[in-house]
Amino acid sequence: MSKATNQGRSHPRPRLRLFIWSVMAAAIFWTLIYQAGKKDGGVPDFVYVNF
Amino acid sequence: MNAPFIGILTGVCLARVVVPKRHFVAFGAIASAVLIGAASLETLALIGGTALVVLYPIGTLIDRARASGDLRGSKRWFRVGSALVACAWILFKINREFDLPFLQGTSPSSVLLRTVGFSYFLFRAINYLYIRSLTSLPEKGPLRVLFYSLFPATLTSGPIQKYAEFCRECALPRPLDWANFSLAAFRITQGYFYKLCLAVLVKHFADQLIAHPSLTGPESLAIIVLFTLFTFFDFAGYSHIAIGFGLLLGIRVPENFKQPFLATSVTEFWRNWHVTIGDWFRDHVFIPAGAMRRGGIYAAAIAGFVMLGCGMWHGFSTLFLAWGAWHGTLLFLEGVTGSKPMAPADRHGPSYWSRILWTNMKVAMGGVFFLPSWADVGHLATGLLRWW
Repeated sequence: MSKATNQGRSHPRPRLRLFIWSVMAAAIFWTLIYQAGKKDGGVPDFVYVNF
Repeated sequence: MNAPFIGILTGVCLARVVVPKRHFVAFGAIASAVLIGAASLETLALIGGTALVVLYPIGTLIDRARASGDLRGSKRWFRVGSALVACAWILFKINREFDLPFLQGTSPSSVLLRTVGFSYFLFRAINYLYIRSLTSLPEKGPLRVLFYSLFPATLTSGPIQKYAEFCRECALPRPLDWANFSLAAFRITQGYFYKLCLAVLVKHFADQLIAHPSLTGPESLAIIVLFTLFTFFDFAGYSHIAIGFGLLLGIRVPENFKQPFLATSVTEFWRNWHVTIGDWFRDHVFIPAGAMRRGGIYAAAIAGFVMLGCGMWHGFSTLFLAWGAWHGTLLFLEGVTGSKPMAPADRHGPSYWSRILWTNMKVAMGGVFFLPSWADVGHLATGLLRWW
């Protein structure tokens, strides 16, 4: 199994990548639930604009 | 990102699978225009319009002058094009920062205020003109420069892709196979994890600390560290999203962060933090100004001025000027004293880690100038003096 790379930057091997991806996706999901459940909260804006 | 935008993006990615490679540029330009138009019509009009009305015609004039052996003419057109885009950017910045009365309330003002990404477009536009003045890139029409200017993944905040590199990617677009799709999904998730979870978390703690009416030394130091981490997670997160998003659209976007917190000098830090802006300044300021050739105090002074300019590029305010002056002074001092990053073989033990700590401290101290006001900077600085 070879490592996927982008300009020499190595990425985790597929199984490890899937595990890390799942942890990050779960963290994002629960953050969104938490933010949406706050009294004056809502789902944060996804747009990544500095300007 | 709203629902229609995600819908269009999904449609574009799916349509890309069936579009022949020879039509990739036309497809990419149209898809980018639709995506940007859906998000902000003003941005599409301003950046797309500048690409079609200024960049492409001047690029053609540069090419013609160079092809006929008129190198001075080619350079002249390069300067004219760069000056035009830079003037538009200055107008844009002044209008944003100071709300000049003669523009306020008028149509151009409101258009400018709803525009995003012009600051980064400035870098791409100058690189396009520069590359055309250096080498012959066969241009069949304005579609490739339109695609380059509007490329949605990097439009708002980089990474700054070089035009020659973008052309190579257009010639061999990345297929939307499982390997690329899973990598893109990973990078996008990583980006949102940084931005939505880690950046929000550290900012929450920083905001709670800075709200204290009377800060102590450790609290001030903690705020500085948290603020540096926030900047990293926010910007590196954004870069991860841009790289993943670019891959979905078939273009490999350059990396922007290469373990900057392991740098052993401020110069090395700037080679690893926002890498593409450093490359841009090397290609368009350092080398043309002869800094690489002359070295010494001259190169150190150019590095200092570049950081000052970088500060002003962030915004026309005294805080950004101070940030640029801080980093400019650090780079100048490192250049003058001949301080160099540690050799790979020496990177171990206490001296290595103390160099890393010292570098990060200097960088983090500059980060205080990104606080909203001088009052906040003063509040933090007062706290730093209170250790007993």
